[in-house]
Amino acid sequence: MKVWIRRLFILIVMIIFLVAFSGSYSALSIDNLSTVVAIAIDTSDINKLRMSFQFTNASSVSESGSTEQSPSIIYSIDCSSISNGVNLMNTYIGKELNLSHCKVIAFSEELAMNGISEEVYTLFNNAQIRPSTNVVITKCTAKYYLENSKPLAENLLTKYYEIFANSSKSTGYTVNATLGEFFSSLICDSCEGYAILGGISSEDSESTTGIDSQKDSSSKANSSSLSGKITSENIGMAVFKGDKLVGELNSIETLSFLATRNEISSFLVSVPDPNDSSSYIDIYLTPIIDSRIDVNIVNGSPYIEVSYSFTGRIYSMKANSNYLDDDVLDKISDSCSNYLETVFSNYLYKTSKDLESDINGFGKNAKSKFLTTQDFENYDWLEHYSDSFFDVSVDVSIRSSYLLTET
Amino acid sequence: MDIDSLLSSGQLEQLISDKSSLNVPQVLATERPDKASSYLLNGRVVVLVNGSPYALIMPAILNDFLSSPDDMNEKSLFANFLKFIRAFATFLTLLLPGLYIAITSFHQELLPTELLFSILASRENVPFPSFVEIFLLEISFELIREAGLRVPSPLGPTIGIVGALVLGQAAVSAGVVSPILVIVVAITGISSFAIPDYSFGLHVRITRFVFIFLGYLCGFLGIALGLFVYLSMMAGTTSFGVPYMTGVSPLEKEKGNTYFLPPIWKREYRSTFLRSKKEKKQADISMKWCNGDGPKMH
Amino acid sequence: MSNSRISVPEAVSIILIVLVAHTLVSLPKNLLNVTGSATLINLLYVGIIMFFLVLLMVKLFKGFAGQDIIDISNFLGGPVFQKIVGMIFIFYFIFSSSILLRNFCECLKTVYYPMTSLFFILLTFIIALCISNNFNFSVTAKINLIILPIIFVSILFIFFANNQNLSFENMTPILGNGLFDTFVTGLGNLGAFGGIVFLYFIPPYLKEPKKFKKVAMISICLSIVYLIICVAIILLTFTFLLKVDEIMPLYSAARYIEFGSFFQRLESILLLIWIIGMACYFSITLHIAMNIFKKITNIRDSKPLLIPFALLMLSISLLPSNYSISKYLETDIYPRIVIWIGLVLSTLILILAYFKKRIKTLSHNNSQGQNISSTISKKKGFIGNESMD
Repeated sequence: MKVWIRRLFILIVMIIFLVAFSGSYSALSIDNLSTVVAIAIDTSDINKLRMSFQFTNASSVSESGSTEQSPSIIYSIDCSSISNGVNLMNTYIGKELNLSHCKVIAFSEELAMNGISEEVYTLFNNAQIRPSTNVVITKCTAKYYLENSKPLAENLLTKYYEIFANSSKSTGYTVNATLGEFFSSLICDSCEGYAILGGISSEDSESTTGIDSQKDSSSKANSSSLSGKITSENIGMAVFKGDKLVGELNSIETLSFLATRNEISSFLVSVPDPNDSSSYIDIYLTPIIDSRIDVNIVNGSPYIEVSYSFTGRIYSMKANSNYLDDDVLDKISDSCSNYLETVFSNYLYKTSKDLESDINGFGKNAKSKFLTTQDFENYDWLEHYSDSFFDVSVDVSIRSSYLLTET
Repeated sequence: MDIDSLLSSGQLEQLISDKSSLNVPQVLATERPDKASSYLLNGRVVVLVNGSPYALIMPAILNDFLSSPDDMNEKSLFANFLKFIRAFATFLTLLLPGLYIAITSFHQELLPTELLFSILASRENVPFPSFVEIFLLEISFELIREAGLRVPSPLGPTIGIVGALVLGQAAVSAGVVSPILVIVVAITGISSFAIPDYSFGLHVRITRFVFIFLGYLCGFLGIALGLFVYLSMMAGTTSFGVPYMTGVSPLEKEKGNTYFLPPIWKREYRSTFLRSKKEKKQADISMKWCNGDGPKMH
Repeated sequence: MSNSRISVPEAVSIILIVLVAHTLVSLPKNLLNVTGSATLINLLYVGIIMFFLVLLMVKLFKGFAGQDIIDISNFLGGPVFQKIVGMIFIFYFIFSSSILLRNFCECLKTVYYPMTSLFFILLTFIIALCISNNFNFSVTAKINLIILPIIFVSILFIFFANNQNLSFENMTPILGNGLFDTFVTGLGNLGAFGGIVFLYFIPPYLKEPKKFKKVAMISICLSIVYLIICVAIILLTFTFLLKVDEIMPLYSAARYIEFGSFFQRLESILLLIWIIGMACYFSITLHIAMNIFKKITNIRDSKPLLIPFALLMLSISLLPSNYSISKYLETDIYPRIVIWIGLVLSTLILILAYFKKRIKTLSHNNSQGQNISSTISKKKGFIGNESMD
């Protein structure tokens, strides 16, 4: 009898638990979810925000051949807040939104200039949204950016979103800006936020390149030289002060940012040829050690010393080159060092004087000069950053060229 | 024992085993004389029943059910690799279906995005929830396995292959089950074959249904608490006075009890839980031609 | 009782699981809230104090081999005092584990079970505890010994997987919120070493009571190292966690782990391991609370107490009406209870008992000496009398 009572009790408990957990099961089960791969947030004429959600058709992802691109579906909604937008979208599509695979959150430039702290806090508060989601500030509307996010060399949109920011490690022309870092910068009193700068290339781009190859490194999203199919492009970065967009950096400035923060493994620069001022030599550089940053407070103003160290190989080649000669290599090294010093210095002063935004996080290095957190907070680093002076030193040692050493 | 007859060692095993809420086997049954003699030399008790080909070895702990007699015949590196495979196979048999259900029901963020879309696409036309699907497939697999034992031997393997392949393929084509689930169930089934002891394999096969239910009920919480309770019950089980999970943790400093085998010249002690009269079975330097540095190379 | 004896590694793992359970929920953040960027220095400072406290405890326990604090309080103040101390410690164990259970289940509900009532998530744990606590203490200790290294590996994994986010500048300013906050107010961080309270109850369970010192020393050293690693994960990688309160900071840190595009979002797997660790902790506290009650009431078997104690734990965890109250109990009340009950009261009892034992021993020796001398003088007198004759 006791055994039967026990078995009955276990059965009743199982049924109760089945009922109790069924709510969470139906909310989170894979069959009842619709997976969002990207979100776009724009300003709206009708309401406060215009949110667009990008979905991918699951069956076409799994069955599509190598020549087809997976179609994406974008739904937009005007709403007063992000949570309301998600709620309304749940109602319209009939399924619960699954935001845990959202790779990109795009804000339009117009919205970013007014401040996006509320949106970022709300997004970070969501248990599904990942801190590693990329944040993009778009020159066009964010929705238009998503509509034209068609990978050129990738079949799957989700894969493209996962890897596009990784090109920052090898080119330095974009950044891997994530929601977690952006949120951290909003809270932090020693650094400012940044985001990927996104735009759309046009079919007939007004080429800004010309013969002067220096123009390559000054490209930004929406004004690059890419022509052909209309597609999204992510070049440069957006700079924030607090939660408001205050400026943009072009590709070479973005590279300087990554070199300062030690987030680049290799990059290509075009430096003036020491023997011919009208031509340029392309050099492939790799950092030898992390950049050294030393911050001191001199007469109440920050004095920041930054030293970089790179090693490089000559990428471009022309006739009558002799890269076996020590003198030639030394001259190119000096030319490269001087060029990079100028570039990095210009970048640092731009962030300090023009943008007044410490995106490099020098404030963290400055903290060691203060004894207590209160002293540092009283100093108000973010306000004093605009008074900063920089001492930049770059040491480049060119090893050789690649396959050809002498022509 | 006051019984009319005893026809096999299996019946004797059930009569003398202690009560266990988990129904784990507490006695090793083997047909191999080398296995029985090896355990006898290590200090265990072996019981033979007249007319039955199986010898009963006791006490038997968890490590014994995952060990094969061939482990002693191989170099320790190879033997330990195979032991690792068996332990992993036991883990898969017990937990893989439950984990799959838990992940698809509560924790989809674990899946890579492309895999998630593959699963979604494959499940689009399936009318059943994943719990019913997995239940159907597991029961079908057990049916095929049991039927394969009874079919006359020329046809046995063929029926097994036909049953598994054709039935699985037909079920997928008909949209009754998703292909990913067929893979999960197949891997679970293959892993169960890697468990050396038949009784223990049966126990694991039955217990996995509990974990499937727990994974369906409350995801990783159910599986974690189920695993905690399962391990507690297993640790509370004794085999003729010896705790069942002796030697499972590598931090337990008891000689001769570890799951992973040291090289043969380091197996100096019998298992301490046996409290044998002669604990040491090998001298410190068993190979007398060495000068203490290991075998000399000539 | 011989079956429920535990070995040295099992005893050490029991002490450590207490610390681990609290760090998984909110302990690192609580420490950072008090001492800011100077927390690592503060932990070293507090760890050294704790080390000497444990040394003192071991020395005081020497005269009471194989006895726990309840037996010692019986020796000190008789059965009445024993019952009072017993009830205080029962309250301590049940309260601390109930509040931790509540906070952990709140976090689980937020992340994975938004539509499920908190009651059922709590009940799931309680049912698991009721089943596993049917077995004796050594069973839970064994499971604990298996799961604890896996949890350590998971914590180290979080630390090393986030190494690209590591920035030692986060340890500056070196004095954090100031000297006073770091070294005076920071003494409140002694409440992080709640596991040491369990040391007072371990001696009767040990297979070899002589190894109690080894257990204590290894536990305190590993506790300090573990705490430093956990705090370092939060402090050195995520500056914003200093200023923002997130549920389960270690879980939040695990959300950042990414290896390429395949191994992402691994925190659920870590949570699976951590749930087993938490269940081990709750099981151990329940065992010890039941054992204390058995001692002070002189009942023969503690198994019938299981369901009442489990239901008591469930009821107390349901008491706070919202998360902020349970968080307050965990972050503010619990450390104080650890310090006052776990450290101050226990040490006082030990010191007083130690002196009482010494006085007793001395007086026993004196009375023995008097007996011997009177016996000798009686014999001399007898001989003298004989010689007079």
